[in-house]
Amino acid sequence: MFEREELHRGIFFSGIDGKKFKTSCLNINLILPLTHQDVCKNAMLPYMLRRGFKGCPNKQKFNEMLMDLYGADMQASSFNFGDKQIITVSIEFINGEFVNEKDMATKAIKLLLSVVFEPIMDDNKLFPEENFREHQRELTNEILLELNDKRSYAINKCNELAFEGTNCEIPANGTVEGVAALSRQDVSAAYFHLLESAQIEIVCIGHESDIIAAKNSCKEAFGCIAVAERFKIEPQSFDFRSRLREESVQMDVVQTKLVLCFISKVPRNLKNNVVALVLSEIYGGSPTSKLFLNVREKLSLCYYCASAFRRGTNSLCVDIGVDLSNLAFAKENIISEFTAMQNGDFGEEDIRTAQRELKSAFKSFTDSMDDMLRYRVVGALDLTHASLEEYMAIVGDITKEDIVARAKNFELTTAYALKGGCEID
Amino acid sequence: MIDVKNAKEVTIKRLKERYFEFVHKSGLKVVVCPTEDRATYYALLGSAYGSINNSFKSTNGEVVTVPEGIAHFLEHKLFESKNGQDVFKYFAKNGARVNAFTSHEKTCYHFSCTNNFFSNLELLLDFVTSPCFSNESIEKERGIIGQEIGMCEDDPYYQADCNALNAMYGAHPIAQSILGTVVSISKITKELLTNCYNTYYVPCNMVLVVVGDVELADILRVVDKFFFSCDFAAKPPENFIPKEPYAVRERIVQKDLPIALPWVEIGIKERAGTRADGFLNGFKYWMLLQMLFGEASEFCSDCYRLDIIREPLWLSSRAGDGFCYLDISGATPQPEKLYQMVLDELRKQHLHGLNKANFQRIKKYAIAQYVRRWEDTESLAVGLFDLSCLGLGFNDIDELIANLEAASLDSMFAKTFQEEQTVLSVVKSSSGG
Repeated sequence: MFEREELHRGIFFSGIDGKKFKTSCLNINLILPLTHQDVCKNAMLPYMLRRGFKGCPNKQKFNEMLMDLYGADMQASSFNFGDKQIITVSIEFINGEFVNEKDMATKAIKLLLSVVFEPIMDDNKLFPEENFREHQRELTNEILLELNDKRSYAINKCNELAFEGTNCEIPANGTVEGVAALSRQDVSAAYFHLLESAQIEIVCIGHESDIIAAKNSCKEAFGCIAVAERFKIEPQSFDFRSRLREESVQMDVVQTKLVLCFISKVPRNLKNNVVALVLSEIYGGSPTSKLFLNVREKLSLCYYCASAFRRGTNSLCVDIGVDLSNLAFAKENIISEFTAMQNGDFGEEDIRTAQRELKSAFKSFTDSMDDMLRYRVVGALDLTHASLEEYMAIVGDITKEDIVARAKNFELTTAYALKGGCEID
Repeated sequence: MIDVKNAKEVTIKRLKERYFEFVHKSGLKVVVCPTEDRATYYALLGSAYGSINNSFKSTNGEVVTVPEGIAHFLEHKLFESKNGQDVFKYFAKNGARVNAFTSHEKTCYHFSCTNNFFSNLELLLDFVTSPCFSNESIEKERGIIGQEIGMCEDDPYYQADCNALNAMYGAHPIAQSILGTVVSISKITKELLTNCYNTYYVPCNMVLVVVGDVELADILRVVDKFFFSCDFAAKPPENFIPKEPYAVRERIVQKDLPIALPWVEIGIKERAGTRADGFLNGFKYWMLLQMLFGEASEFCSDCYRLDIIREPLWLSSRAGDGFCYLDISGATPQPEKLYQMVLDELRKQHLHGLNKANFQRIKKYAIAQYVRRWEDTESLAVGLFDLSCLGLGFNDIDELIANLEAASLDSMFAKTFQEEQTVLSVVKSSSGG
């Protein structure tokens, strides 16, 4: 593991030894505040960048270039974490030794940096109109497709309601209307703003020599945008509504979706995050959880009923797919299971089981490039740069009192139902 | 005492990796892939029994036909242990995560852990080999699976896929849903589950795959404990899969759901070969799909330019016992236009000969996909399971790609991808979008 180091003001680089993997990756995250004004402009950037670069402006040729690099996988996306928007551009490639390509890493790193620093722009430093229109349609498409997956759609809607009035309510890609209102001038300006203002977290997973090459190349490339001040991630504090808000929407679907959002006002730090993970594991995060055993197995109400702790918003989200006729009964049971957690109605064995499962999950992160990337980036986003060993040690020290206290600090603030089917009187 | 000298060591030169194959005296195939540098252990025990195996000769010699969705139902029910408890609990105590899945041709039970591997392996072999069904728990499971079915009825991708299969296949059970329907699962009984279990969960129809820092001999000792007293004379199941006509059933099918943008699946039905041939041909079909409609194709560029698609199409091929089809899927504001463009492209390439400009780079892409398979433990284990069921190895894929000539794909294309073998399955917005 290579220490996280600051290459230039606000630009950080971390390397992770990836000898065990057959592929390597370089992942660049550009982090800015999430705002209504900028969300769509920024969300357009991954599409504008992913299509090629000055030296290869033809999208088809660019895809051919990636295939020639043994199917190097270039990804670009926008996601949010609490009140921050992250634009990620990354490349994952096969290690050259498996395909007799000595320069694979050099070529892949160069390609990614070309995409970030030499986007296809005209002489006026604007994205070409035709490309802009194509990707405006593509982003609109992406937003529209969110409705296809009713489960995640309902979760997103509940999130918007729960954090209404704060920037955490903003969807990662913005809205169809917001995208339609964009101009290429807006998006081109957003590109320069992103490079010059964002906090940048770069993570490379690969062989030592590849990490060193990536670090040197990034240091040189990002040197040209070295500025005195950049956005700096600060600890978040929110002032959320505490009374319960309920909303339901009717849709022509077979299965009703119910999402509940519990928000906590305790300070966010490593220990509190880990306690919330253990709490969620016992409550609804595993097949041995209270929700799984009681709401699914005992009452036979659903196929899934699960909880997840969201670090970005310090909230606990519970969702279930259920028959409309059982909606009220399911909700009552989900809430009463949470009340039981707040009352300490769970055993030491439940805690031990959750601890073992979480420790195992943390340990196995090292076998997955995606998990390692997520762990590093999320650590930077919520200012918890702890090692996996530290996480595991904290998990092991959690007590019943910690969990009960954390549960008591969560308040049910939002219930969102996407209602389908028929209600039986 | 098991003699590990009888194990076959498979070395994959390209990847500098190896794995072992062993056939236990019970008939169970055991595949062990030692990986010293991974913290995770992964084991998968599967039966070559999936949703298409609905008609078979049962252990008493009688030919039976069972309700649609029973393989998946059985998968759920095996998680109940002898004392009526869910087996999840025992794995969780060991810090392991256990799960299962059912597809058209297999049912697999798997776990991953970082500690207590052998204890977890014993739990896996124990619960899969000792079924325990009660009428009460079967009743309870109907409610849970009913909700799973409901969830899939709202899923446009699942619906487009089911409808495409239904349009392509008339007699073959691949046209049936893996989950079954609320009506079909209402007919499932304890006796039917037992009959299916006794027929298909026999060692000679099963494979155990282990990936992790383990020794083959240690794995075989555990296997011996659970499969020592098995019925060695048990024969592989006899399936009855109806003969499927070559022609498709329907060309165009549509379903309305509350979605914002139509989702399309274009299916191409091809002749089914033997299962092993089907697997290897499937690879060639996938390469052809990439050449014709992949991200580096002219077709794809044209579709973007004309706003027919707004993201790359999903391309895949599937082949198995009595079926073989290809699919091209994606979101599009103009489903019929996309279908027409696909047909025009096929006509053009049949007329002028396959455009082989991208052949070499797609070959490189194919190699990368094969190397990536090794990256993810679960994907590796499932891959080894599939290959073992077919009597193939990882090197067969490498060899296939290395030796593949453009001319061979050309001649394959000339005989396939026929217009009348295509179907269009569309899921449109119920509000008319």
